[in-house]
Amino acid sequence: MTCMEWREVLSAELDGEAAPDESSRAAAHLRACAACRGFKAGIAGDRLQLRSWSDEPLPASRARAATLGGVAAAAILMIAIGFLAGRATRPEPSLAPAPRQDVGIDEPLARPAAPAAQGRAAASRLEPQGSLRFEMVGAVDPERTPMGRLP
Amino acid sequence: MPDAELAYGEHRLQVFNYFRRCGLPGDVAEDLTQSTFATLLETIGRYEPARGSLVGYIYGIARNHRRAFWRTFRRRQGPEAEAACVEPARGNADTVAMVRGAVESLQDDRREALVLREFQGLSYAEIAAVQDVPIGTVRSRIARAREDLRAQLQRGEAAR
Repeated sequence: MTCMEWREVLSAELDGEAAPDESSRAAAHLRACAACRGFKAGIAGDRLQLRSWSDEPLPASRARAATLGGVAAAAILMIAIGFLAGRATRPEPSLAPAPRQDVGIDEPLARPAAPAAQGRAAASRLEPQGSLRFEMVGAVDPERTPMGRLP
Repeated sequence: MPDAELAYGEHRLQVFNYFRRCGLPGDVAEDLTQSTFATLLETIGRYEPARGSLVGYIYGIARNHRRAFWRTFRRRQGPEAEAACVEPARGNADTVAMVRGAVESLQDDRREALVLREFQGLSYAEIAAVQDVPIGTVRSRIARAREDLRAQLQRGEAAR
């Protein structure tokens, strides 16, 4: 076995996922390999450092939505407000649908990875211009999102 | 059948932090968390406990939403935008910034496997179900993530 293969065993051992016979053979390798001993000590120390990265709290808007039902109800309320706002600001009364950009549902994104999620509006957001924006579940719009980084 | 409402209460914070630790900005992480649980609500009737844990099932949904998001982003923004968004590993100011930078620098599948193990507490079998790969692949990804993390953290320490 190569050192990389032994390190897979050592890593699995740290997680309690190595078989007992693997561990005993790895122990024999460690007696002869200083680099792998360093790796084993290093990953144990790194785990402690990782733990320093604690959970971020949920943003307040999401923390308040304590139930799935609450999320759905909030979304329905926001849709109703958006509909009324659209009627109030429309120059002439019309039954025409609201402009696409106010609804914020984009064609490609209305087909999320999980088809069952289609048709469920569950997230809303206040746009900088003050218009209410609604998004389909599973359909986050990458064009309108300030990106951090990519994998 | 498991209760989606209960799962939402128990796991939404962890799912949100899974997205954050996989490098997504906060607002995207919020939206994908909502999407994940909406999908869970829709599909929970199809969940089969014999095929894996509910936690693994939830992170499987989360992974699908994350991948769908990136696919759409790359299609719309193009690879040049992707390159422009990638930030160099940074942060020697304190340990957390250094750790965050080191985790962010990892290759995506390795980082996800490590995050699911170290922060979300999933077993290798559960991670294998989430990533839809054999357990041996999970083991290899986590070990390589740790190798890469080691190198990054050592560089960070040296730069302090």
